[in-house]
Amino acid sequence: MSDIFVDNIKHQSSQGSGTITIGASGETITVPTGVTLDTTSATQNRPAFQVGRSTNQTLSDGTNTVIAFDISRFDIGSNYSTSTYRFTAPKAGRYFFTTQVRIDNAPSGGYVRCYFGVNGNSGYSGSNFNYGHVISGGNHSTDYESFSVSAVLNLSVNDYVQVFAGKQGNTTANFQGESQFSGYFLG
Amino acid sequence: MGTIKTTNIEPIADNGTVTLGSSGDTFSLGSGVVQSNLNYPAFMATMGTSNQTVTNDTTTKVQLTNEVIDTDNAFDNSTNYRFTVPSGGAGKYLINGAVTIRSAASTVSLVYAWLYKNGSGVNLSMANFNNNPVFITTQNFSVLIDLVVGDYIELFGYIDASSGTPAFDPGVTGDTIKSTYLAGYRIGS
Repeated sequence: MSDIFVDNIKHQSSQGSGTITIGASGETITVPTGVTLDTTSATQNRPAFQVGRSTNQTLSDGTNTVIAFDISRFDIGSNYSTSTYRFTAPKAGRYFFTTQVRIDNAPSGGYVRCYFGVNGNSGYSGSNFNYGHVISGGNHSTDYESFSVSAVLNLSVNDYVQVFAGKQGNTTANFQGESQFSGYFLG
Repeated sequence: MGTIKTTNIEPIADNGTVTLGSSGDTFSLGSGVVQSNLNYPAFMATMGTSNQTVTNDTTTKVQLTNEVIDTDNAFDNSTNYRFTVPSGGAGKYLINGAVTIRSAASTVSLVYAWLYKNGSGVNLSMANFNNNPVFITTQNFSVLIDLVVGDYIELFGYIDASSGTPAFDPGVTGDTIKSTYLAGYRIGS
């Protein structure tokens, strides 16, 4: 066993742009209990956000509507817009997203759905919404219900993600403020 | 290219800080290298094997007595049924929760699954089956929240049933497949 006591480790020649590789295949890098691995590396200070909604929002019949999450609770990297209701990817990679929306007056005999859209598109192909989707309808219709959707999406720089909800039926469905939209960069 | 071979890296002064790189540098784990403790603290707790009978129309804490994961011994599964952020664990957490709620057939009209932080609700999943009461349902949520050391989170549920014995249900198939749980892990600072 050998120890290195040091306060800084930097790339030998290109400080500010080089790559430093830690370990070789089969090895384990251990962060001992009580050690704080913090806070400025890309993986620790990753883009992450959680947003909510201040008021109710009416859903039009037969139309899929962007949920207007207009309250930012935290937004590392400032990648979410409370005016366009978009999370815009600052870098390419995989992102985890999750949302939970309350929808009231789900129509009996109709349906209510919620899904993620990327660059304004649902990713609908065949019978699938490829970016994550839930639907409730028919005899399962309720006075109100929370929908929860999670997905891992592969995004390019400047791709944007929004939450959509839609309904079809005779009643006036409303998206309610008791809802949230969250996400973070996986790598 | 320079290579350092060692088994420990520590700051010069005890309890000091080792700074890795400078702005713009990239640290890359070699192919096949495993980083331990990634996303710790992490926890998952479920109910035991019995239903938890609850009072109708009353928000009630779910008694999560079974620890599946508790990397930092931060989940209390015997008294308060809560995760408390340990020293060094402040940051953003992805929290997942679900409560399976039941009573007699066609009696359950309103259910809530709450995430509580420091004694107050911060996230809610719900359903009102007023026109079509059900026997059993699961409400779930997934959310990113910001926690500091000492913050605690808990799982609460609520049921409005017209008859029967309102209860939280641990799961199905002899309660071996869990559908009532609270789980989470730290994603970063």
